[in-house]
Amino acid sequence: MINWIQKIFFPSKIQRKQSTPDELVPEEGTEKVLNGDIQSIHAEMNKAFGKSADFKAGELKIGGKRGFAFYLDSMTDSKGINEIITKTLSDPTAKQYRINNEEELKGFCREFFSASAYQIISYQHELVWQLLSGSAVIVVEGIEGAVSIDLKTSEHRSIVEPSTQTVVRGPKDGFVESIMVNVSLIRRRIKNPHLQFEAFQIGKDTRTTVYVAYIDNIVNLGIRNEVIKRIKSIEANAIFESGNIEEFIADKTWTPFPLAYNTERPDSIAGHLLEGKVAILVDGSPFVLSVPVTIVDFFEISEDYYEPFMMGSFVRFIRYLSFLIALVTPAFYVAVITYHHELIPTQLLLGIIAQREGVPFPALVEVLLMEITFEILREAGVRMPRAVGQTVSIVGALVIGQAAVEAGIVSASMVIVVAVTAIANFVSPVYSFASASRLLRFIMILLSAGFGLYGVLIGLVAMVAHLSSLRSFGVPYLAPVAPFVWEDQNDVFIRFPIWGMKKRPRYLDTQAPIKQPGSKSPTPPPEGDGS
Amino acid sequence: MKLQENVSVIQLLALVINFQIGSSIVVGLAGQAKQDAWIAVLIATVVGVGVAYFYYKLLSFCPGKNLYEILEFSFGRIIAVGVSLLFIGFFFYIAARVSRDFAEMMTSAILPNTPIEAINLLLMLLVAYILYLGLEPLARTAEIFSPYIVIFFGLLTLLLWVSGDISIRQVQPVLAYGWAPIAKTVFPDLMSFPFGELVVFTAIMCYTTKFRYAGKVAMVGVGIAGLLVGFSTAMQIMVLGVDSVARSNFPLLSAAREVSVAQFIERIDAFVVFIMMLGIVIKCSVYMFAAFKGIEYVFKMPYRPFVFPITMVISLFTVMIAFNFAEHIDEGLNYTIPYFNATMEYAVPLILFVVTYIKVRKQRKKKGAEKA
Amino acid sequence: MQVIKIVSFVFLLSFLAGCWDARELGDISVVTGIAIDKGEHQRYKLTIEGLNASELNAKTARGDAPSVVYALEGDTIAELSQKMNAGISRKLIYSHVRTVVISEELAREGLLDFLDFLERNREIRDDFIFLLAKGRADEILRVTYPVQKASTMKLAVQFRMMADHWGGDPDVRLKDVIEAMVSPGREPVLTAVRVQGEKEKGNAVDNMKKVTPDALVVLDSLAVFKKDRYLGDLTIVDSRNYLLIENGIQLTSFTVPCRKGKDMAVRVYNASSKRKVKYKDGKPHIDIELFLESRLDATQCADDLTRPETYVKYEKLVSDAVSRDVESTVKRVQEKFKVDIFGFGEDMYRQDFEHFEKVKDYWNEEFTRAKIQVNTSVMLRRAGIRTKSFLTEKQ
Repeated sequence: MINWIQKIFFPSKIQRKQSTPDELVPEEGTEKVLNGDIQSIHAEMNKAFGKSADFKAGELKIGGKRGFAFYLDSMTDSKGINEIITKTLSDPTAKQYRINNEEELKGFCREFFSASAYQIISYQHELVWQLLSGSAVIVVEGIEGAVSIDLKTSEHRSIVEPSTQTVVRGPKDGFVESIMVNVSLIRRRIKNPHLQFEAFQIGKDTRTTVYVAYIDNIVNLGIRNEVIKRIKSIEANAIFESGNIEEFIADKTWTPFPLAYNTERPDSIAGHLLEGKVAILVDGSPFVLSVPVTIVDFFEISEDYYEPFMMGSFVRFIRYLSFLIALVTPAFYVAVITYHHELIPTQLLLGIIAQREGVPFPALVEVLLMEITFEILREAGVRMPRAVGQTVSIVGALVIGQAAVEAGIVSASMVIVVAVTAIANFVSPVYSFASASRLLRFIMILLSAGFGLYGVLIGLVAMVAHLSSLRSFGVPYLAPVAPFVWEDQNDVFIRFPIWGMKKRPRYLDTQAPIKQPGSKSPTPPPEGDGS
Repeated sequence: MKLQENVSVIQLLALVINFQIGSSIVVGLAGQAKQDAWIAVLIATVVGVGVAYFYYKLLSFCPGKNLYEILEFSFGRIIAVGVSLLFIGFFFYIAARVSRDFAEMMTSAILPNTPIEAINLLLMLLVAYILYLGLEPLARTAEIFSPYIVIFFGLLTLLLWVSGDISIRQVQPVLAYGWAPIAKTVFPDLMSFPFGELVVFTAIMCYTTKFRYAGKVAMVGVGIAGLLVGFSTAMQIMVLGVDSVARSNFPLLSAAREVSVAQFIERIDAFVVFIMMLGIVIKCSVYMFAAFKGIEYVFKMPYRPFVFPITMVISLFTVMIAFNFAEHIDEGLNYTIPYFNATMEYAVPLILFVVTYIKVRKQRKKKGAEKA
Repeated sequence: MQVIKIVSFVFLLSFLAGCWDARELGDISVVTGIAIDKGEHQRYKLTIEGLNASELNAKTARGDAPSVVYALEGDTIAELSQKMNAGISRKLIYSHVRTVVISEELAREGLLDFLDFLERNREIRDDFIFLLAKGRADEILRVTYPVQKASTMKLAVQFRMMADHWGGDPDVRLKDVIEAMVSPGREPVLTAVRVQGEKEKGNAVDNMKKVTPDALVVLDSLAVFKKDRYLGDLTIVDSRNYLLIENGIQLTSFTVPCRKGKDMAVRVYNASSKRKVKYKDGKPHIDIELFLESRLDATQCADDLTRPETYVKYEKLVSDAVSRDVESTVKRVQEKFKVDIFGFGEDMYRQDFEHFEKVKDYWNEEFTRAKIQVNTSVMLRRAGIRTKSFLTEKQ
């Protein structure tokens, strides 16, 4: 009875009680050694995996002895199994080989498995772990240790154009779910032996591979060590996405602003690495993180550097403007039409009044109605099955655009405001940053409804104060604007020509502050010399 | 978390400029000097630069120590606590005055039916939030918004000029009444408000990363702010005329109301309030921060737990310091400036300066003697 | 956690705040015109024109009256302005006032104390046109017009155009009036208007349906004041000349005789003036220097416009005529009104401060005695897209 009540009210407590000791990382001293008693190993493996359909345990003869090969069908390459194990073992020379001790086992492996990756393991928990990560393990009777042959399938999505941060001009490849492919995408861009990928296994249950990438003669070692320290201290049971990591390593949780950059674009990450930042790759996620990040990074996209610098700078200006528009337009509109009529030119005011004639709601309700409708539509648009996409957009356009106005529930000018806001919000190159302005917009609307422009201004100043208190791995979030760093201004509001950016950002305090000392502006030959 | 919060040189500059502009552009300055008010402001700026140097010099006797610690160094803890309490009271009082200035403007010109308490409370909540975040975010916020203040000023000037409201004739004849009225406005009015108010920076300047530049930076800041305020004073006169300025409670706001470009850009005073609000928020926060530093010194514990309650009390106090606007201004001109300001801004620091100087010299001599 | 507390506090606050100053657009009516008359029983009669916004929007217009004109009597305009809901359904907002009209009667008696309200009020901006009505002021608001529909909207546009293109309206703002009232060296002027045609018929939508409206508000003259008292009128040509002296004009036209019984018209597209006031022989000497840049718009004389000499001749003709004209305007003011509406006293205040201090209390008398000298230099730059007039050929 008590148990039953407990189950209902405190499910978490019960779970905690029931959690079993970790098979993969047994406590010190309790590790089981693979002692060559293959029958008992077989039995134990059967006990552990026996209910799984993909668990295979095949008896075989190896070096004149009985042995077992264990593998998980789903994780291994069946062709590899076939080729390496069956073929190799049935090879006439192999048949003649005799294995009597561990040394000879190693010798056997050296001879026959030379091409593929194998390793000798000696503990039972290692065996389990190797199976789970896609290896076939062979145990031989009477011989201590086991051979683990890496036969991981490399099943992954083909490299396609990223669905976020698309560019007009620039590389069209994007990260995929396979960490190895992602590493290769980065490595292909940076042919520098100093580029390091440190591996970590995170997640009690998922054992997700996480790589911390950096260029060790550029990166600020303090930042690198901090990243590694924070990654190591993650105590999660599951890591599916880099977003999970992001929340664990952020400097501050109570903020709508992302404190790590995420992207699907290998060229962005390569650029960040070369600036001296640290990238975090998570197996199974096409989104790669890069830290430390400043707010300026969220207004940049790699295409800025591929377009002529004037265009790049202009587009950047548009992005800053859009952020502001997305943040305050509805609030500003509400403030102006309910508090500051004098700010509107007479004709425009008359126009808006005429439109709003018959709208039954106060402006605040009207704007919240529209904004929430829009957010619902947007969420529906992202989640719905692709096949019904058409329906939602038609209904949305009709509901928001036409019907609501014609029914006199909202005014046409409000639709314009919401639409402009929405479009401006989509300009932001990083989705998670755009979400911040989505959230803050509602706060701004409420403040403006209470105090007019005064409220909006208070909100803006509070937001800036909040931003200036944020840090990402010790780097002030608003750098290089506040604290102001003169040398770094070449890539903030105006993107200087590439040859003009000689230095790495100073706020990162890298080991090699100058990246291209000799770069200079192109000097065309004087006229007339050309021919 | 770092224990010591630091302010960079540029941030100090931004703080000083914002601080000086703060309430001096909300309520006009140097009204008695008529059309020569701007000259008075410029002259006072020169003096103000000297005042900034004086405060810097005071701090540089004991680098790294703030006002309160220097007080202790010179007078011992008991007297220091007493004087510190005076300073804390002074800072809180002026912070309340500053926010009252702004809130009065808001209720008179922008939100006439909103209770002044509500306006104040919102402003003070913002100040509390900034102070809770600490000195660094405060300095950075000032840093971010300073360019906007200059840009807004430029824009306002441009718009007024384009709409044909600026006429240089309004400031003529220059020096019609001689130097006497100017001298009268510079001493004591302009000397104590806004230039003497720099005394709060004795509690802040010591946190500058490169302290040896702090003096110069403060002087440059005062210079820039003085030029801006002088410019705004001249502009107000050129737009409104001397009589109108004299009749305006908030001359810059009135001047901004004149803007009318192409029948479209009109009535931009709500935006001008933006410039003013930034200055006020910074100024108020700086005063409060200096006072909280004092509290930290007196009670020997971090100031953060005090922030919210005390700010709210100040918010209430702001409303209670005067029953009406006339009383508020009168109190400022006829009581606060001659007595309170003069004492806390000049008399006490001067005594402190002399005592500290003697003490430091004695110590040095002692050290020199020991060495020899 | 503290942060959350503060944030939620702000939220609650803004909800509880109750939006003291919020006014929904559906609850307001924009006032664009104010007319102030002398009341029958009490001091003032305030008439306002509140717009019917949906009628002024092309999409929603149904052909009803474009505005509502309503009047109340009382002793202060300030109170009346808030009391208008006695007859009007919506909250009136005064931030978009385009026109303020005062009646002749009121001005003659010097009842202009209400200017303090206009200046002090936070809502009313100093960007309205300030008019004097010949006759009753409220009549001015009750005249519809086909284009802008509401009377005061029309006036605002009309006078701006007039001021910009010919200069019959001195474009006087509240600020100028008040400045002139308090300044010892200047007296105020106002533009005067009157209703032309049948006043009663102007007060209806039908007036908008005629090619020639039955009633029309027209520019009448320039009203001259001494402090707050209305003295009399000058013509609108004087009012143009007034602007010329004030350096307040860019575009205007002159008709100048080029031969006996024949005239030519000159379009001035750039004008500036310089004024010097000094004391000589116990008498103020006022020098006005005008510089006009112009083109020939039309001529009735058969002169050869291909020759530079003709230009020189015409320039001379124009400059003489303008000098005479302007001088006569100033003389007329000196003789008829004996007040310095041009602000020569202010010039003197700036140019000869010490002397002005002595005479500032009786400057108007000094102005009356002043010797006026007008020098005009005219530049005739071009003569349209024809060379000789066809009249030349005819001869």
